[in-house]
Amino acid sequence: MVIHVDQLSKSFDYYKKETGIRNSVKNLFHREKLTKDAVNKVSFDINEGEMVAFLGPNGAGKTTTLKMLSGILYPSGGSAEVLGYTPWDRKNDFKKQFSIVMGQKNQLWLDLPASDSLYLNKCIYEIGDQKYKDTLDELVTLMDVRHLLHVQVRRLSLGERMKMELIAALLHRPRIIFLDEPTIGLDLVSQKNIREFLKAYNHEFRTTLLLTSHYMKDIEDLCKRTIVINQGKLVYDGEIRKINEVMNEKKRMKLTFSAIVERKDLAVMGSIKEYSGHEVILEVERTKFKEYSRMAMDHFPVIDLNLEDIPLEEAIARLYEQPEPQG
Amino acid sequence: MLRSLRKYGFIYSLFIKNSLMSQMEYRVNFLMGLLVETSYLFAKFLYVIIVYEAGLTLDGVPIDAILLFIGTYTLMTGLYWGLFAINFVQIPEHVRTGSLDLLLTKPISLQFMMTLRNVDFGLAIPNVLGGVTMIVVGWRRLGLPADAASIGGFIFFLVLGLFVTYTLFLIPQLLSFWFIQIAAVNDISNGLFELNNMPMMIYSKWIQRIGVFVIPVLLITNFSPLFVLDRLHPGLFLWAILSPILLLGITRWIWSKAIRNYNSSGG
Amino acid sequence: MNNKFAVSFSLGIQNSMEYRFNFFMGFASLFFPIFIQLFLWKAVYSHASNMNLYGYTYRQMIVYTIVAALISRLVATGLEYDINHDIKSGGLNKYLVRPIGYFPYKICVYLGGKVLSFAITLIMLLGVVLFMVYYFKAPISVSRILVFGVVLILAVVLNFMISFSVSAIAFWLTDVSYFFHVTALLIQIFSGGIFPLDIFGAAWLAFFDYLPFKYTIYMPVNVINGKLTLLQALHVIELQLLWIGLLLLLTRYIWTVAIKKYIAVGG
Repeated sequence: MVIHVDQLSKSFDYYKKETGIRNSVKNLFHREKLTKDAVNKVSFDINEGEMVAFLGPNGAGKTTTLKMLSGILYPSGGSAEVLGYTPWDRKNDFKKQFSIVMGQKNQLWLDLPASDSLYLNKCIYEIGDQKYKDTLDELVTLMDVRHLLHVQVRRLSLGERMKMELIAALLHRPRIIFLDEPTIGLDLVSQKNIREFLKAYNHEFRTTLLLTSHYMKDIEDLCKRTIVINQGKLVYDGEIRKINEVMNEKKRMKLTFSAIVERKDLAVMGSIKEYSGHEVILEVERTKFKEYSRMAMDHFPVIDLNLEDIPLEEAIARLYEQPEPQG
Repeated sequence: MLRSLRKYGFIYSLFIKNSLMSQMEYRVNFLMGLLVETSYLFAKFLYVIIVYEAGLTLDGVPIDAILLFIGTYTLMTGLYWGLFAINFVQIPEHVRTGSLDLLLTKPISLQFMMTLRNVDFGLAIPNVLGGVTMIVVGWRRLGLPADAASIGGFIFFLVLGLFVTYTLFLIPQLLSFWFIQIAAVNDISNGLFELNNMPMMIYSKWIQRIGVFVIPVLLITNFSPLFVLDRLHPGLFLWAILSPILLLGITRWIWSKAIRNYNSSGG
Repeated sequence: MNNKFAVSFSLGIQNSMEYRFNFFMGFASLFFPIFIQLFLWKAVYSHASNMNLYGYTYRQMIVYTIVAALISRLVATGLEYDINHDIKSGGLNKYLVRPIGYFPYKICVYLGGKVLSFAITLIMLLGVVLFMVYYFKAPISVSRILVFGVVLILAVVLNFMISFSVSAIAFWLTDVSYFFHVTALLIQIFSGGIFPLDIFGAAWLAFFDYLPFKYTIYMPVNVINGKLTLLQALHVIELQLLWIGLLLLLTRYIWTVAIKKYIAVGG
């Protein structure tokens, strides 16, 4: 077991703020303090070599959990042990054994070629010359970016930059890698490349990987196990397949009409989620989709038809409603 | 101890190299930075002109000594902005945007990474050159001995002053861990640094005492010239050595409090 | 009919209210330079054998220092950065199609923004005047105060014109923040905002006659200072008006050329 999390919690204080000059003056003297539970008594264990996904809507507490596990934040309650260390003690020996990659934050110097930043990391992590050379060689080959090492980072595409960020994070051969939205903002091809690399890397080195994302695709491809967090609480810990089932049971069909269609005429196809006369969003059984779409085309003045997944938030809510045991 | 000192020394040399390389990418900005500092140098030189034209002498210190004081101040301004301030001013930004996060996970002192990572040559060069020139000219005109003791002592107090500068002006920036708006604090701390524009003897006795013992800002650039002019009271010797150590302790303490208070933002 | 100007004007007032905290702190940052200079002059005058340095008595110099700092705070615009932003972000486009011209719009917002600082500066100046009357026993006539008020308003307008001309450089230079830094500092020095222009000597003083800068700070200070006779003060108003007229023509010309270029490249 490399990660053991027990009742981990983090709450943030913030102040109620009202607009206007009068309230600004009032706030000078008295501010109403409010508390938000970003992470609320979360517990789980992770074994060496596992690839686990943190799933949940924005603001659910995924990133906050990762930040506590990497020692960036102090928790307000509970405990965690990563590789036998308490992360927020921030011991150098601990820091040398893990890495965190955040899709929205970069550690490379933008105005320099990546090679200079990588060399700086070599010195910071005290990696031996030969080991550094070998690891770098291997990583640039795996990611096919050797020719980009000496290009100013600012001139690289976002996908190329993320590859360099990953290399910088992997140079010291961490035993655990935390990845926070690593594919955010990338084009589909780059997303796929990054996913494939992570998969291969985990396979080859048995490195433990913890990944947050709100792209279902990221997670489906990579992880067998998923931990779902919603509103700071752990709501599901188990196989990713189950979520997929919930998500795939039903689809959302969005229809746009050229003339107003009566609400009652639509209700036969499924439950109406939104309705505005010219537009409707229906939730339909996946298996019935073909049949209903043909029916809609035949009977109503359809000018546009779209098929969408159920939003992740709702799928999670439904998971939570199901009377199955957690984990 | 010695090993980690070597590690930090080597990494600092990489910081300098990387900063220089980054700045060379923006040569026009670099040159414009030189121009800005040169014009500030010109503004500082107005004070020298006035002192000479008015024939100002303080406490019997010969007039040419003013070059030592203003020269040291100018040199220190260059070092402060080029080595420290360029990093300090980014601290509130790091805190606000959460770019501190990744630095926190590096197996190296966070304070070292945050406060010394960038070196700005454009800000430093004109002031260092201008300052050293004034010091050398003043030194010659005063007929001071160019022996190891004098020069060594001058540099010794300069280094102590650099320590005081680092610690004293880092403290206000750390307030950004608690408060978002600290522009006003910056104005005041920059103003305090400016007090060194003139030898401390022009201020009243009480201001001198406060500036040496309470907020030791006058310690930064006055002690080097006072030492070579043989006007530094022996009791102040001890204080000059003690206060940087004291300040370093205070800074470390506030730093650890500040980091504990850090609530990484941006998700 | 002139409603749109009134709206722009009140927009400026609101804006300055938004930043009232920074505004007051701006005054705090005035404190240190004044503080240093006051001690400098105290030292200089207590040592100088002739009590009339650069044609100023000790009192006049003290008043010059305080009033010049206050006025340079008042006339400082920061307008260059604003206009640069409008040009670079393409924000200028919306003014080109609006029924209100860019220039009148900016001057309304600017003057509106100055109402508050004008009021506060006047109160502080009044304090200085009372100080002069009671402490220095230097009576000031009501007519002089009135003339000073007019000179001050024209100084604000004149400085606006100068900033507006300088900011046109943003049409040609890609990165101007450094450039504006330099010009702001040099203009402050050549306006007499740091020291009276007399310290530069007669030759430079004659040269400054051919520039508009001294009519924004140096001359207004000397009006209230009593260095100028009332008749000379009225002459200052004439020259201020002349410079405002000349700069109006100049900016009109520069901006016509610049906007043509701006439109040609598609903003």
